[in-house]
Amino acid sequence: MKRNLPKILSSICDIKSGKIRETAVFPSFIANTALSLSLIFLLSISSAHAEWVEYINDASVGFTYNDNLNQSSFPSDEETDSYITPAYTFGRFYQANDLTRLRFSLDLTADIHDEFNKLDSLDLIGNATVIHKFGIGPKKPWMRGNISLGRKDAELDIRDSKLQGVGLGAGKRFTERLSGQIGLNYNHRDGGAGQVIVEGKSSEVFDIENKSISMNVDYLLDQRSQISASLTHRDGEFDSACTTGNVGIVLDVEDVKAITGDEVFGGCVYRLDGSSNSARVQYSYALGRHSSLNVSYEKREGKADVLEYDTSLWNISLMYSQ
Amino acid sequence: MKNIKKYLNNHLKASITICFLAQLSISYADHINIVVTDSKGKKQEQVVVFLEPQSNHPMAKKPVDIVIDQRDKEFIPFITAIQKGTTVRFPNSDKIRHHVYSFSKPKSFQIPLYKDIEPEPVQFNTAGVVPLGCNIHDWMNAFIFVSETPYYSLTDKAGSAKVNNLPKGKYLAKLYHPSMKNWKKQAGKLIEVNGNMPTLKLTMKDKKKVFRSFRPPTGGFSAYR
Repeated sequence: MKRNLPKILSSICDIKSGKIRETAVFPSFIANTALSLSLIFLLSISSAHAEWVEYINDASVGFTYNDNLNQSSFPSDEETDSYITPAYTFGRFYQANDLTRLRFSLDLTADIHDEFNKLDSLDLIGNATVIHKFGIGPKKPWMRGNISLGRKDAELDIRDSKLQGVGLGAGKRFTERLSGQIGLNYNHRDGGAGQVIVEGKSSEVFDIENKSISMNVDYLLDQRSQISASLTHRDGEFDSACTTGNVGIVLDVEDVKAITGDEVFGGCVYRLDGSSNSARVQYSYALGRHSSLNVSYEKREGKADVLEYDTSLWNISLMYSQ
Repeated sequence: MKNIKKYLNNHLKASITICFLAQLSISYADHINIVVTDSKGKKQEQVVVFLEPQSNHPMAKKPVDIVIDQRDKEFIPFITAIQKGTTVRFPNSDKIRHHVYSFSKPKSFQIPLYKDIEPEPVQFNTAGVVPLGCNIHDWMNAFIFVSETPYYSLTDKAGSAKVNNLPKGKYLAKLYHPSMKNWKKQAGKLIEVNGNMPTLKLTMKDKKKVFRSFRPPTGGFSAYR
């Protein structure tokens, strides 16, 4: 695994420029990830200590305020809304050997909007993760690979989607206070087609594919408090919306890959090919051994050709883990 | 005549033995009370107080049954003080498996995944500090202080500790807690144990914040989970 990691990383990311390579390399990324996961699994199951170790029973409820819900590039079209996100995860760990564990989970997440109820949705995602630690002890580095498959059931059929994801991550606790992680992810939201409103243009707006690289740092302030910071660069597609008055401008943009009419915000919703960056900070306070209160702020900026958007998200959440 | 000599001989031996034992008991102070505070005067809980004799003493072994349990994914207690040569039991009261380990110099050992069956006790034959961890749950930690002598105790919530059966003589009184940055380099406080002792006041200096972090499901990004 140690030898494979640099190859896998270099196949995805140009280290010097920091840019993620073209989508064409991602099949090899997926293949490498799947191969690594399989190898770890095959090596693991031969261990004398292999056994199921514990269940995962995590629940949370979050409240988010988003000041540009439709990720619109036009200030006059920006919509704000708040939404509640209850979530539940059930799963189990399989300790394959002293250093490797498998995690299987089912994640159920709902989005309940205050104003734009037609965006309400329910996601059910199955996750399989292999986590390998390079030694015993809290400060030993680890890496993980995961594959997820799921479904988004939205209020409006056009937003129903299949969800697929592949990820690789690595992390290390450096001191009692400080730990850091990096992650590479590929995500595909496979949505259906909407009504064709422009001849020759796809209407599969929610057929969105992108890959991302992220860096995270967690810092313990004391026994109960932790601050976290995360930076993510995403390369690929995202959706955006505008009112009918701005459709003409949108259609002039080369990076618009699909467009259709939109019942939620009025006007149209379209898929852009570009990139986005996000920065997130979070403060967590442990209420006890099983629960925490979390407050976070996230800033996202997306760009495709001449169209740009930015949005800010404030979130507060309560988490419980058995 | 022979019987009288035998009787006197035995009687004399018994008298000498009684006198010797009496002498021994007189040379022991009952106990010494200690209060530990930090530099701001706040009472310190779960601090190991240990006394290093400055002359040779007979050092009896403390007959104790030491247990470090695992409950709700925590080691209980957090700090344990034992004498060199003591064995410690590691039951697991949780319904899930744990993997206890330490890679410290005084004692390196592992107890791989176990749940219902209590493993063989572990003996600690070298003085020093043995940090414990769980390979499954990285946040779980605890510390065993292995003392060279039987003269040690742990402070309670009021910061008080009591060391019993101390022979008369000079001692260096020292402290140990995981939050002390350089506990090995501390000078200690020289005391003379001599009959009734006033309460000894010790100050824990050079303190850092210790992170026995809870297991917060932070929603953060870390978590080897």
